[in-house]
Amino acid sequence: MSTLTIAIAKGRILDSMRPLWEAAMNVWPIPDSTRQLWFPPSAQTPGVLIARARDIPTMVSLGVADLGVVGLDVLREYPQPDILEVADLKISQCRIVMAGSHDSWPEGPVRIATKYPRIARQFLEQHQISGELVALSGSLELAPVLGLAPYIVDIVDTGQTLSEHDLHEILTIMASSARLIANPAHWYTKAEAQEFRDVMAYQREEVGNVKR
Amino acid sequence: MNQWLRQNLEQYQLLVRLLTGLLDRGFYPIPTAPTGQQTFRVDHTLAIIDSLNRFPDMGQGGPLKIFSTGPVYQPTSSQWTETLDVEILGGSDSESLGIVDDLLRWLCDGENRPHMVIGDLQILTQTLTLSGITKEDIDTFVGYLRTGNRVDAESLLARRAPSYQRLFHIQSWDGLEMKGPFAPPVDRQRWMASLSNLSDVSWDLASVGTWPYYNGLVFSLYGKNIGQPLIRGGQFQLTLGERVWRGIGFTVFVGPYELFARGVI
Repeated sequence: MSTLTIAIAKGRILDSMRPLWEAAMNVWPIPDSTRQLWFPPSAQTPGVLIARARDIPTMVSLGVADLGVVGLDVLREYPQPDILEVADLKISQCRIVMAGSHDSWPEGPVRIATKYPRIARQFLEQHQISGELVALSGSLELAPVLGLAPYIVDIVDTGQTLSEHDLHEILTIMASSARLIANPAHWYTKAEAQEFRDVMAYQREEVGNVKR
Repeated sequence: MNQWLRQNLEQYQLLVRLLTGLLDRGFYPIPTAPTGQQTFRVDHTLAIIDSLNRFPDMGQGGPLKIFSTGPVYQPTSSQWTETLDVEILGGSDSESLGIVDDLLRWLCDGENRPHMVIGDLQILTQTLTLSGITKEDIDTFVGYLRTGNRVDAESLLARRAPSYQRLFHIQSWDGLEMKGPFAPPVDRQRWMASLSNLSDVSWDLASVGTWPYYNGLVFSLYGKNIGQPLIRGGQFQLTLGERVWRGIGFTVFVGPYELFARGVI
Protein backbone atom coordinates (compact mmCIF):
# COMPACT_ATOMS: atom_id res chain seq x y z
CA MET A 1 0.00 0.00 0.00
CA SER A 2 1.45 3.33 -1.04
CA THR A 3 1.43 6.16 1.46
CA LEU A 4 2.58 8.83 -0.97
CA THR A 5 0.57 11.70 -2.36
CA ILE A 6 1.89 13.59 -5.38
CA ALA A 7 0.52 17.04 -6.22
CA ILE A 8 0.57 17.61 -9.98
CA ALA A 9 -0.04 20.86 -11.81
CA LYS A 10 -3.17 20.61 -13.91
CA GLY A 11 -2.96 21.08 -17.67
CA ARG A 12 0.06 20.30 -19.81
CA ILE A 13 2.16 18.91 -16.96
CA LEU A 14 -0.58 16.51 -15.84
CA ASP A 15 -1.01 15.29 -19.44
CA SER A 16 2.75 14.81 -19.91
CA MET A 17 3.06 13.03 -16.59
CA ARG A 18 0.66 10.26 -17.58
CA PRO A 19 3.01 8.24 -19.87
CA LEU A 20 5.79 8.36 -17.27
CA TRP A 21 3.44 7.31 -14.49
CA GLU A 22 1.83 4.52 -16.50
CA ALA A 23 5.23 3.17 -17.50
CA ALA A 24 6.35 3.16 -13.87
CA MET A 25 3.20 1.99 -12.08
CA ASN A 26 1.25 0.20 -14.84
CA VAL A 27 -1.79 2.16 -13.80
CA TRP A 28 -2.96 5.78 -14.02
CA PRO A 29 -5.08 6.68 -11.00
CA ILE A 30 -7.16 9.31 -12.77
CA PRO A 31 -10.15 8.03 -14.77
CA ASP A 32 -10.79 9.77 -18.09
CA SER A 33 -13.44 12.50 -18.04
CA THR A 34 -13.54 13.03 -14.31
CA ARG A 35 -13.58 16.35 -12.52
CA GLN A 36 -12.29 14.89 -9.31
CA LEU A 37 -9.10 16.52 -8.04
CA TRP A 38 -8.00 14.12 -5.31
CA PHE A 39 -7.20 10.42 -5.76
CA PRO A 40 -5.99 8.74 -2.57
CA PRO A 41 -3.04 6.36 -2.51
CA SER A 42 -3.88 2.72 -3.20
CA ALA A 43 -2.13 -0.63 -3.26
CA GLN A 44 -1.17 -0.07 -6.91
CA THR A 45 -0.17 3.54 -7.00
CA PRO A 46 0.56 6.70 -4.98
CA GLY A 47 -2.25 9.21 -4.63
CA VAL A 48 -2.62 12.23 -6.88
CA LEU A 49 -3.73 15.71 -6.00
CA ILE A 50 -4.46 17.99 -8.96
CA ALA A 51 -4.04 21.71 -8.36
CA ARG A 52 -3.07 24.98 -10.01
CA ALA A 53 0.63 25.18 -10.74
CA ARG A 54 1.13 28.13 -8.38
CA ASP A 55 -0.31 26.17 -5.46
CA ILE A 56 1.84 23.05 -5.86
CA PRO A 57 4.95 24.39 -4.01
CA THR A 58 2.74 25.61 -1.14
CA MET A 59 1.03 22.21 -0.83
CA VAL A 60 4.35 20.43 -0.82
CA SER A 61 6.02 22.82 1.62
CA LEU A 62 3.13 22.45 4.05
CA GLY A 63 3.30 18.67 3.77
CA VAL A 64 -0.20 18.24 2.32
CA ALA A 65 1.53 16.40 -0.52
CA ASP A 66 4.77 14.47 -0.15
CA LEU A 67 5.98 15.32 -3.63
CA GLY A 68 4.90 17.67 -6.39
CA VAL A 69 5.33 18.11 -10.12
CA VAL A 70 5.47 21.70 -11.31
CA GLY A 71 7.18 23.80 -13.97
CA LEU A 72 10.54 25.41 -13.27
CA ASP A 73 9.03 28.74 -14.41
CA VAL A 74 6.60 28.61 -11.47
CA LEU A 75 9.34 27.66 -9.01
CA ARG A 76 11.47 30.60 -10.10
CA GLU A 77 8.59 33.08 -10.14
CA TYR A 78 7.22 32.01 -6.76
CA PRO A 79 10.23 30.74 -4.82
CA GLN A 80 9.36 28.57 -1.87
CA PRO A 81 12.21 27.98 0.57
CA ASP A 82 10.86 24.89 2.29
CA ILE A 83 10.97 22.45 -0.61
CA LEU A 84 13.62 20.36 -2.32
CA GLU A 85 13.89 20.16 -6.11
CA VAL A 86 14.86 16.53 -6.54
CA ALA A 87 14.55 15.71 -10.26
CA ASP A 88 14.16 17.32 -13.64
CA LEU A 89 11.47 15.18 -15.28
CA LYS A 90 12.22 16.77 -18.68
CA ILE A 91 8.54 16.84 -19.60
CA SER A 92 6.48 19.92 -20.55
CA GLN A 93 9.58 21.60 -21.89
CA CYS A 94 9.16 25.25 -22.79
CA ARG A 95 10.99 28.57 -22.58
CA ILE A 96 10.42 31.97 -21.04
CA VAL A 97 11.27 34.50 -23.72
CA MET A 98 11.23 38.20 -24.34
CA ALA A 99 9.30 39.00 -27.49
CA GLY A 100 8.19 42.16 -29.22
CA SER A 101 6.57 43.58 -32.31
CA HIS A 102 10.12 44.10 -33.66
CA ASP A 103 13.03 41.76 -33.23
CA SER A 104 15.24 44.57 -31.90
CA TRP A 105 16.73 44.67 -28.42
CA PRO A 106 14.92 47.22 -26.24
CA GLU A 107 16.65 50.59 -26.02
CA GLY A 108 15.93 53.23 -23.44
CA PRO A 109 13.13 52.89 -20.91
CA VAL A 110 10.70 50.23 -22.05
CA ARG A 111 7.42 48.84 -20.95
CA ILE A 112 7.12 45.06 -20.68
CA ALA A 113 3.93 43.11 -20.12
CA THR A 114 4.35 39.86 -18.26
CA LYS A 115 2.84 37.32 -15.95
CA TYR A 116 6.32 36.66 -14.59
CA PRO A 117 7.18 39.97 -12.87
CA ARG A 118 9.91 38.47 -10.70
CA ILE A 119 11.73 36.76 -13.56
CA ALA A 120 11.25 39.81 -15.79
CA ARG A 121 12.57 42.20 -13.12
CA GLN A 122 15.66 40.03 -12.59
CA PHE A 123 16.20 40.00 -16.35
CA LEU A 124 15.94 43.80 -16.57
CA GLU A 125 18.36 44.26 -13.67
CA GLN A 126 20.81 41.76 -15.12
CA HIS A 127 20.87 43.57 -18.47
CA GLN A 128 20.64 47.03 -16.89
CA ILE A 129 17.54 47.84 -18.87
CA SER A 130 15.35 50.54 -17.42
CA GLY A 131 11.81 49.26 -17.71
CA GLU A 132 8.31 49.36 -16.38
CA LEU A 133 6.50 46.07 -15.86
CA VAL A 134 2.82 45.67 -16.63
CA ALA A 135 1.51 42.69 -14.70
CA LEU A 136 -1.02 40.68 -16.71
CA SER A 137 -2.31 37.23 -15.92
CA GLY A 138 -2.80 35.94 -19.45
CA SER A 139 -3.25 36.71 -23.19
CA LEU A 140 0.05 38.55 -23.16
CA GLU A 141 0.31 38.47 -26.95
CA LEU A 142 -2.40 41.10 -27.02
CA ALA A 143 -0.29 43.66 -25.15
CA PRO A 144 1.88 44.75 -28.14
CA VAL A 145 -1.08 44.46 -30.54
CA LEU A 146 -3.21 46.77 -28.38
CA GLY A 147 -0.35 49.16 -27.64
CA LEU A 148 -0.23 48.31 -23.94
CA ALA A 149 3.46 47.39 -24.03
CA PRO A 150 5.83 46.89 -26.97
CA TYR A 151 7.51 43.90 -25.32
CA ILE A 152 6.32 40.86 -23.44
CA VAL A 153 8.03 38.27 -21.25
CA ASP A 154 6.05 35.08 -21.61
CA ILE A 155 6.26 31.33 -21.80
CA VAL A 156 6.41 29.71 -25.23
CA ASP A 157 6.39 26.15 -26.43
CA THR A 158 6.60 26.14 -30.23
CA GLY A 159 6.33 29.90 -30.72
CA GLN A 160 3.26 29.52 -32.91
CA THR A 161 1.07 31.82 -30.81
CA LEU A 162 3.74 34.52 -31.01
CA SER A 163 3.98 34.32 -34.78
CA GLU A 164 0.19 34.35 -35.11
CA HIS A 165 0.28 37.76 -33.42
CA ASP A 166 3.22 38.99 -35.51
CA LEU A 167 5.52 38.93 -32.54
CA HIS A 168 9.25 38.20 -32.74
CA GLU A 169 11.22 36.26 -30.22
CA ILE A 170 14.17 38.39 -29.10
CA LEU A 171 15.80 36.34 -26.38
CA THR A 172 15.30 33.19 -24.34
CA ILE A 173 15.49 34.16 -20.67
CA MET A 174 15.28 30.64 -19.31
CA ALA A 175 14.39 27.11 -20.33
CA SER A 176 11.77 25.38 -18.25
CA SER A 177 10.55 21.83 -17.73
CA ALA A 178 8.62 19.98 -15.05
CA ARG A 179 10.50 19.36 -11.83
CA LEU A 180 9.79 16.87 -9.11
CA ILE A 181 9.78 18.68 -5.78
CA ALA A 182 9.72 17.18 -2.29
CA ASN A 183 8.68 18.12 1.20
CA PRO A 184 11.98 17.80 3.12
CA ALA A 185 10.38 16.13 6.16
CA HIS A 186 8.70 13.48 4.02
CA TRP A 187 11.75 13.15 1.78
CA TYR A 188 13.85 12.06 4.72
CA THR A 189 11.27 10.07 6.67
CA LYS A 190 9.53 8.18 3.85
CA ALA A 191 11.84 5.92 1.89
CA GLU A 192 9.05 5.60 -0.68
CA ALA A 193 9.53 9.25 -1.68
CA GLN A 194 13.11 8.67 -2.78
CA GLU A 195 12.11 5.43 -4.51
CA PHE A 196 9.44 7.33 -6.46
CA ARG A 197 12.05 9.84 -7.60
CA ASP A 198 14.37 7.03 -8.74
CA VAL A 199 11.59 5.24 -10.64
CA MET A 200 10.47 8.45 -12.36
CA ALA A 201 14.03 9.42 -13.24
CA TYR A 202 14.53 5.96 -14.75
CA GLN A 203 11.27 6.16 -16.73
CA ARG A 204 12.18 9.68 -17.87
CA GLU A 205 15.29 8.26 -19.52
CA GLU A 206 13.43 5.22 -20.90
CA VAL A 207 10.55 7.24 -22.37
CA GLY A 208 13.08 9.79 -23.64
CA ASN A 209 15.08 7.03 -25.34
CA VAL A 210 11.97 5.63 -27.03
CA LYS A 211 11.09 9.12 -28.32
CA ARG A 212 14.63 9.72 -29.51
CA MET B 1 -14.49 26.17 21.14
CA ASN B 2 -13.43 24.09 24.13
CA GLN B 3 -11.22 21.93 21.94
CA TRP B 4 -9.58 25.01 20.45
CA LEU B 5 -8.99 26.50 23.89
CA ARG B 6 -7.56 23.21 25.12
CA GLN B 7 -5.19 23.04 22.14
CA ASN B 8 -3.96 26.56 22.86
CA LEU B 9 -3.53 25.70 26.51
CA GLU B 10 -1.49 22.61 25.67
CA GLN B 11 0.73 24.52 23.27
CA TYR B 12 1.42 27.19 25.89
CA GLN B 13 2.06 24.56 28.55
CA LEU B 14 4.60 22.98 26.21
CA LEU B 15 6.21 26.37 25.53
CA VAL B 16 6.45 27.04 29.26
CA ARG B 17 8.06 23.62 29.78
CA LEU B 18 10.59 24.39 27.06
CA LEU B 19 11.39 27.84 28.49
CA THR B 20 11.66 26.48 32.04
CA GLY B 21 13.91 23.67 30.81
CA LEU B 22 16.25 26.16 29.16
CA LEU B 23 16.34 28.41 32.25
CA ASP B 24 17.10 25.36 34.40
CA ARG B 25 20.02 24.55 32.09
CA GLY B 26 21.56 27.98 32.57
CA PHE B 27 20.33 29.68 29.40
CA TYR B 28 19.69 33.44 29.43
CA PRO B 29 16.64 34.87 27.66
CA ILE B 30 17.24 37.63 25.12
CA PRO B 31 14.26 39.58 23.76
CA THR B 32 14.15 40.31 20.03
CA ALA B 33 11.75 42.68 18.29
CA PRO B 34 9.26 41.19 15.82
CA THR B 35 9.79 44.13 13.47
CA GLY B 36 12.76 46.30 12.62
CA GLN B 37 14.41 48.13 9.74
CA GLN B 38 11.17 48.00 7.75
CA THR B 39 11.07 44.20 7.83
CA PHE B 40 9.46 41.53 9.96
CA ARG B 41 11.60 39.16 12.01
CA VAL B 42 12.41 36.10 9.91
CA ASP B 43 15.15 34.77 12.16
CA HIS B 44 16.11 35.30 15.80
CA THR B 45 19.84 34.70 15.42
CA LEU B 46 20.66 37.94 13.63
CA ALA B 47 18.58 39.96 16.07
CA ILE B 48 20.20 38.27 19.08
CA ILE B 49 23.72 38.87 17.77
CA ASP B 50 22.80 42.44 16.91
CA SER B 51 21.77 43.02 20.56
CA LEU B 52 24.89 41.34 21.97
CA ASN B 53 27.14 43.22 19.60
CA ARG B 54 26.33 46.42 21.48
CA PHE B 55 28.26 45.14 24.50
CA PRO B 56 32.04 45.45 24.38
CA ASP B 57 32.74 41.94 25.72
CA MET B 58 31.13 38.52 25.86
CA GLY B 59 30.40 38.84 29.57
CA GLN B 60 31.72 35.42 30.59
CA GLY B 61 34.54 33.09 29.72
CA GLY B 62 32.79 29.91 28.72
CA PRO B 63 30.18 29.43 26.09
CA LEU B 64 27.36 31.94 26.37
CA LYS B 65 24.02 30.10 26.45
CA ILE B 66 21.07 32.19 25.33
CA PHE B 67 17.62 31.83 23.84
CA SER B 68 14.86 33.92 22.40
CA THR B 69 11.25 33.18 21.65
CA GLY B 70 8.45 34.55 19.54
CA PRO B 71 7.02 34.03 16.08
CA VAL B 72 9.07 34.48 12.91
CA TYR B 73 7.63 35.64 9.62
CA GLN B 74 7.70 33.46 6.53
CA PRO B 75 7.57 35.87 3.59
CA THR B 76 6.58 33.34 0.94
CA SER B 77 3.49 32.16 2.81
CA SER B 78 2.89 35.45 4.70
CA GLN B 79 2.56 33.39 7.88
CA TRP B 80 3.97 33.75 11.36
CA THR B 81 5.35 30.61 13.00
CA GLU B 82 5.92 30.28 16.74
CA THR B 83 9.55 29.42 17.43
CA LEU B 84 12.07 29.04 20.18
CA ASP B 85 15.63 29.93 19.22
CA VAL B 86 18.60 28.56 21.14
CA GLU B 87 22.19 29.78 20.67
CA ILE B 88 25.48 28.74 22.20
CA LEU B 89 28.15 31.34 21.49
CA GLY B 90 31.89 30.91 21.91
CA GLY B 91 33.47 27.98 23.71
CA SER B 92 35.16 25.05 22.03
CA ASP B 93 33.53 22.84 19.42
CA SER B 94 33.26 19.91 21.79
CA GLU B 95 31.82 22.09 24.59
CA SER B 96 29.07 23.53 22.41
CA LEU B 97 28.33 20.19 20.76
CA GLY B 98 28.04 18.65 24.21
CA ILE B 99 25.45 21.27 25.18
CA VAL B 100 23.49 20.68 21.96
CA ASP B 101 23.67 16.95 22.60
CA ASP B 102 22.22 17.42 26.09
CA LEU B 103 19.42 19.64 24.71
CA LEU B 104 18.53 17.19 21.94
CA ARG B 105 18.34 14.34 24.43
CA TRP B 106 15.96 16.40 26.54
CA LEU B 107 13.86 17.53 23.54
CA CYS B 108 13.63 14.05 22.00
CA ASP B 109 12.94 12.25 25.25
CA GLY B 110 9.52 10.88 24.38
CA GLU B 111 7.78 7.88 22.94
CA ASN B 112 8.25 9.01 19.36
CA ARG B 113 11.54 8.61 17.59
CA PRO B 114 12.50 11.54 15.36
CA HIS B 115 14.63 11.42 12.24
CA MET B 116 17.75 13.55 12.31
CA VAL B 117 19.51 14.67 9.15
CA ILE B 118 23.09 15.83 9.52
CA GLY B 119 25.27 17.61 7.00
CA ASP B 120 28.45 19.61 7.28
CA LEU B 121 29.38 22.56 5.10
CA GLN B 122 33.03 22.41 6.05
CA ILE B 123 33.29 18.76 5.03
CA LEU B 124 31.23 19.43 1.90
CA THR B 125 33.61 22.23 0.88
CA GLN B 126 36.66 20.06 1.61
CA THR B 127 35.17 17.20 -0.42
CA LEU B 128 34.38 19.47 -3.35
CA THR B 129 37.83 21.05 -3.21
CA LEU B 130 39.27 17.53 -3.29
CA SER B 131 37.23 16.86 -6.42
CA GLY B 132 39.12 19.67 -8.14
CA ILE B 133 36.25 22.03 -8.87
CA THR B 134 36.84 25.76 -8.51
CA LYS B 135 35.86 27.93 -5.56
CA GLU B 136 33.42 29.80 -7.79
CA ASP B 137 31.72 26.52 -8.70
CA ILE B 138 31.65 25.48 -5.05
CA ASP B 139 29.89 28.75 -4.16
CA THR B 140 27.39 28.20 -6.98
CA PHE B 141 26.87 24.61 -5.88
CA VAL B 142 26.25 25.55 -2.24
CA GLY B 143 23.99 28.40 -3.41
CA TYR B 144 21.84 25.90 -5.30
CA LEU B 145 21.62 23.61 -2.28
CA ARG B 146 20.69 26.48 0.06
CA THR B 147 17.61 27.14 -2.05
CA GLY B 148 16.74 23.44 -2.17
CA ASN B 149 17.75 23.17 -5.83
CA ARG B 150 19.37 19.74 -5.92
CA VAL B 151 18.72 19.35 -9.65
CA ASP B 152 21.08 22.11 -10.77
CA ALA B 153 23.58 21.21 -8.02
CA GLU B 154 23.65 17.61 -9.26
CA SER B 155 23.92 18.71 -12.84
CA LEU B 156 26.86 21.03 -12.01
CA LEU B 157 28.61 18.19 -10.21
CA ALA B 158 27.92 15.79 -13.09
CA ARG B 159 29.67 18.22 -15.44
CA ARG B 160 32.61 19.12 -13.21
CA ALA B 161 33.25 16.04 -11.07
CA PRO B 162 31.07 13.09 -12.16
CA SER B 163 32.67 10.62 -9.76
CA TYR B 164 31.46 12.78 -6.85
CA GLN B 165 27.78 12.21 -7.64
CA ARG B 166 27.71 9.89 -4.64
CA LEU B 167 27.66 13.02 -2.54
CA PHE B 168 23.90 13.05 -3.07
CA HIS B 169 23.42 9.62 -1.56
CA ILE B 170 21.69 10.02 1.76
CA GLN B 171 23.08 7.42 4.14
CA SER B 172 21.44 6.18 7.26
CA TRP B 173 23.73 5.78 10.22
CA ASP B 174 23.37 1.98 10.13
CA GLY B 175 24.67 1.71 6.59
CA LEU B 176 27.18 4.49 6.80
CA GLU B 177 30.47 3.91 5.11
CA MET B 178 33.09 4.86 7.64
CA LYS B 179 35.89 5.75 5.23
CA GLY B 180 36.38 7.77 2.07
CA PRO B 181 35.77 11.41 1.11
CA PHE B 182 32.03 11.27 1.74
CA ALA B 183 32.20 9.92 5.27
CA PRO B 184 32.04 12.18 8.30
CA PRO B 185 35.19 12.67 10.38
CA VAL B 186 35.66 10.54 13.47
CA ASP B 187 34.30 13.10 16.00
CA ARG B 188 31.12 13.51 13.93
CA GLN B 189 30.82 9.73 13.65
CA ARG B 190 31.01 9.46 17.42
CA TRP B 191 28.39 12.16 17.80
CA MET B 192 26.10 10.48 15.29
CA ALA B 193 26.60 7.12 16.97
CA SER B 194 25.60 8.58 20.33
CA LEU B 195 22.56 10.29 18.78
CA SER B 196 21.39 7.09 17.14
CA ASN B 197 20.10 5.99 20.55
CA LEU B 198 17.41 8.62 20.47
CA SER B 199 16.86 9.26 16.77
CA ASP B 200 17.16 7.74 13.33
CA VAL B 201 20.18 9.48 11.87
CA SER B 202 20.99 10.22 8.23
CA TRP B 203 24.20 11.72 6.90
CA ASP B 204 23.42 13.94 3.92
CA LEU B 205 26.23 16.13 2.65
CA ALA B 206 23.77 17.93 0.37
CA SER B 207 21.94 19.22 3.44
CA VAL B 208 23.43 22.70 3.98
CA GLY B 209 20.68 24.59 5.81
CA THR B 210 18.95 27.67 4.51
CA TRP B 211 20.87 30.49 6.22
CA PRO B 212 23.96 31.92 4.56
CA TYR B 213 25.80 32.21 7.88
CA TYR B 214 25.98 28.45 8.47
CA ASN B 215 29.55 27.31 7.97
CA GLY B 216 29.91 23.88 9.61
CA LEU B 217 27.63 21.25 11.03
CA VAL B 218 23.95 21.58 10.05
CA PHE B 219 21.14 19.42 11.34
CA SER B 220 17.37 19.07 11.11
CA LEU B 221 14.94 16.89 13.00
CA TYR B 222 11.76 15.58 11.48
CA GLY B 223 8.88 13.52 12.79
CA LYS B 224 7.13 10.84 10.76
CA ASN B 225 4.01 12.19 9.02
CA ILE B 226 4.69 15.73 10.23
CA GLY B 227 5.36 17.72 7.10
CA GLN B 228 7.34 20.45 8.85
CA PRO B 229 10.72 20.41 10.55
CA LEU B 230 10.68 20.06 14.33
CA ILE B 231 14.13 21.55 14.84
CA ARG B 232 16.64 23.09 12.46
CA GLY B 233 20.07 24.45 13.25
CA GLY B 234 23.78 24.53 12.71
CA GLN B 235 27.18 26.01 13.39
CA PHE B 236 27.58 29.56 12.21
CA GLN B 237 29.88 32.49 11.89
CA LEU B 238 28.55 36.02 11.70
CA THR B 239 30.54 39.20 11.31
CA LEU B 240 28.94 42.35 12.64
CA GLY B 241 31.07 45.47 12.39
CA GLU B 242 34.53 44.30 13.36
CA ARG B 243 33.39 41.46 15.59
CA VAL B 244 33.15 37.85 14.54
CA TRP B 245 30.54 35.73 16.30
CA ARG B 246 30.90 31.97 16.21
CA GLY B 247 28.48 29.53 17.68
CA ILE B 248 25.93 26.83 17.21
CA GLY B 249 22.20 27.29 17.43
CA PHE B 250 18.90 25.86 16.48
CA THR B 251 15.25 26.75 16.16
CA VAL B 252 12.44 24.70 17.63
CA PHE B 253 9.26 25.07 15.56
CA VAL B 254 6.74 24.94 18.36
CA GLY B 255 3.66 23.80 16.36
CA PRO B 256 5.23 20.77 14.67
CA TYR B 257 7.26 19.99 17.80
CA GLU B 258 4.06 19.95 19.85
CA LEU B 259 2.48 17.44 17.42
CA PHE B 260 5.59 15.31 17.72
CA ALA B 261 5.79 15.56 21.52
CA ARG B 262 2.11 14.70 21.93
CA GLY B 263 2.37 11.93 19.36
CA VAL B 264 -0.90 13.04 17.76
CA ILE B 265 0.10 12.03 14.22
